[in-house]
Amino acid sequence: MLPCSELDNFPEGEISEMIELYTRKGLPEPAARQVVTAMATAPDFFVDVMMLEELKMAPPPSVSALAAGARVCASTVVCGIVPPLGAMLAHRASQVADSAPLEPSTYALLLALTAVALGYLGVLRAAITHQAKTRLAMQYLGLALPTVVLARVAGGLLDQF
Amino acid sequence: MDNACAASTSEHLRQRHSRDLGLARAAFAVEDEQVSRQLSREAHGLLSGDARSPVSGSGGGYKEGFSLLSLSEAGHNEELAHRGATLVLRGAVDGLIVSVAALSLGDAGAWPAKMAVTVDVVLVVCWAAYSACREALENVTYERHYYRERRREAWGERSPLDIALSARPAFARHLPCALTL
Repeated sequence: MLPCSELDNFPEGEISEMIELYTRKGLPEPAARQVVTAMATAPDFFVDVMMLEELKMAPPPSVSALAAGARVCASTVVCGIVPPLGAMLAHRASQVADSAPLEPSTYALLLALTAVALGYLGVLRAAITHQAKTRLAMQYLGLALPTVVLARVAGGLLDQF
Repeated sequence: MDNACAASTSEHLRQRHSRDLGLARAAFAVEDEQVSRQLSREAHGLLSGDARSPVSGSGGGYKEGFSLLSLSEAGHNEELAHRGATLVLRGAVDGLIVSVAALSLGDAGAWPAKMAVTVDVVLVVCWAAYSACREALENVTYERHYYRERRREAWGERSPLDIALSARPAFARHLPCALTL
């Protein structure tokens, strides 16, 4: 619950708060006062700085909620649908009945292609974050490993029932 | 601030504006400290008007590469600046992982191929819908939180909410906001 006084104009309080914050971070008090007073002459900018320094809150991303949801949804569906469709095509190409399990070679090929795709996504992420491509590619591959192992263990247990 | 100092500062700011972030990063990656400092100063446009450095041609590690990055200089938090691309990557990884998990389950359980593929597709679509809703909700929640806090911190520019609050009856002004809103 906010006290009403915080919503009223109180520049002196906000300036003191920022000076105290910068002083705590190691800036001498006169320098902190000079910097904060200068920043306070541009209120909009000063509020942005207060948001970052006091609350550690970055401005909201420029992507809207709808666009963010749409991007995640589209990319999940596109990348998630490719492996099962590929598996089905490969299965039918090997002329095995749909009621039969996947051929071991089909499953192995699927795993290999997924690993390549994950590695490539890791490389793309490395390009954005300026990190080592190999490391991020291995990180994404590492994400898949426990998932596949646990799924196979669960599948094996289910098969016994 | 005297005129000379002001002129010097504005000249410095003008020079800073010509800083090439890609080259600055490449300079930081160079192991030789002398060369690194030199390249850094060049990247910041402090030594010459031409900020192009020989790094890219001398195996210094910098490569223009990914087209997303060449569109604009994003600042120091690239993941936040390239939020759209980051979301697409996250969704793509989720899709692949969910998909391969479902197919692995079906393969280990000796499910018929048709059933494994059907379960996989259903799971991927459900996961995509959930992820989209989660992302959108998080976006909205953070945006509201941010702008509420920003309004609270603001004092110079008075928002409609502030004006409405200051117009409260005198007896209500000392009450907590939640009691009067």
